[in-house]
Amino acid sequence: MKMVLSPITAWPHDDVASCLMTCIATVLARHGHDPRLVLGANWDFYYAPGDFRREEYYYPCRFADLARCIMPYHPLSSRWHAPASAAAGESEVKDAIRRGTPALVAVDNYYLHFRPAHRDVHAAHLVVVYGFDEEAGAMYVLDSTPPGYNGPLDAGELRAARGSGNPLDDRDTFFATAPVAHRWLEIEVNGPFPALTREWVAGVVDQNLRRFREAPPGPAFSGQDGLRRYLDDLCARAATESGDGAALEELYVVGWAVQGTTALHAAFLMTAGRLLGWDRLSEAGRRVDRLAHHWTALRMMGAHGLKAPQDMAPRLRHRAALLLGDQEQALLELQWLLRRG
Amino acid sequence: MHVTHEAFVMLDLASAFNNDGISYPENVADGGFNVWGNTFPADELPASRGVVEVAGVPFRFPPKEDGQLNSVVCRGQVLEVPPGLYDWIYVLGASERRSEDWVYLHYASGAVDPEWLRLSDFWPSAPHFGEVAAFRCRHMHYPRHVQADMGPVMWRQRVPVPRQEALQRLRLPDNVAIHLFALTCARSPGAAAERARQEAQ
Repeated sequence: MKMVLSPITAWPHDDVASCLMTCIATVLARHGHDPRLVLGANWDFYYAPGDFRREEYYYPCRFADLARCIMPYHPLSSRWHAPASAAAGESEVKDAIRRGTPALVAVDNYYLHFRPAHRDVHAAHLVVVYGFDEEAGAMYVLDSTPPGYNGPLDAGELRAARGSGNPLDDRDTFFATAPVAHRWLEIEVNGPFPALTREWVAGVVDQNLRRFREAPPGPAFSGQDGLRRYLDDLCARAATESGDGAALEELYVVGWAVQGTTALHAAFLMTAGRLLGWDRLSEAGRRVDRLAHHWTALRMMGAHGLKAPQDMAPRLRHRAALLLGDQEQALLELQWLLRRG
Repeated sequence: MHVTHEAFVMLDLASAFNNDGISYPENVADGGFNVWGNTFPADELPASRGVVEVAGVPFRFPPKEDGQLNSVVCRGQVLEVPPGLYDWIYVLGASERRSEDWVYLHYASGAVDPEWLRLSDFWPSAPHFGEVAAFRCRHMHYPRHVQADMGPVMWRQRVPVPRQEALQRLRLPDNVAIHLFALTCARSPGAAAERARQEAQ
């Protein structure tokens, strides 16, 4: 039997968005939605201490449902599947495709011939599987991350990538050690999406601002104050580390999710601003984009500082202060926008 | 030594170079643009130490030989500029993921202004900040292999010099994501003539 879902389109590479975002974007585009207007509506900071996993698709979640965390303003839900075996994993993905649902499948880059890390570096990555050809022994795979891949892939190759233990790798300590374990993510669209109007966008911005200003009780870092406390805590840990770089590895991974969310929200504001003829919204979006670029500096300081975290800590602290200051201004700008229109 | 052209001054960055971001296919482990040791392919870039023109602006291209430093990773360094009136500072560079930061321009008058330096990612991508792609390569060098279908990009960006006063030096941002391979200052001939006329009055 052969079945290949269509249309399936690659999300143009955005260097600060993770494979999780690009895979979800493919699902949204398949349903006829502009991914920027869905993935980017939410802007948030949330992190529960110790939660991070060494996966490119890691995303810190307030709720069990990942889709609800990333896209709370749209009728979407998601479920991570954890099949017990390779056979079960393949069977579940084929069933999803038979239902017309592309599967977002976790893989280890080490086993995929089209990834630059092939037979070189272990790293947990996410791709879209959208078809199968049992006679040819192939699965259809889309990877939007450069160099990119779109087409049939030997089923055995995908099986190996899905079953990897993703062992510790001295050349990529950020995304190794989290077992891939045949997992896959299903995204469900549960109803019509809201129309893009000024009122809807204003409501979205208002809810985002409330989350930033109202930190919930509990140990998690949340909102603007939570971000400040998280960066304080991280810089303090880096300053006292003996050299294993654990705090900076966490910064790189957790920071990617925050950076991607921030950059996508900037794209949301600027795209909505253009479509609605609302220039001040686009201008506020540009301020948010600046924050995504602060995260580049922070994350790369983390990556380059792994061997000497104590030396990097003061510079990290300085950059964190700049980020927090600019983020406060961006929040004020959005508040002012809601008042003025 | 800085090289002066009729309308441009190509800065000599040799003493500021602190990283090797270019390698030959025969020795891809030479240097590392980013923390993973990726490098630009030397055989797809202009001649070592030669002058190359990108969209009408000449640059002095850095050395590419094994072991040679050829780029500035921004860590807050100060770069001296031959004092003069300029309109733009042109840059050949790239970022590890897109980034933007302030460069502080110091003028002979003592005035200091921050101006934006914005550079897109070196991975194959669109120019997020509207730069010109100076060199879009076909191969990316990894520490153990050459990746054939994924070429890094070196961008031509520019930083404005708004004051019609003599520029003396600039301070780079403390941002290790931003890498500079060459800088060229574009003179402001109209401003020079006007200032001379005003001073003569």
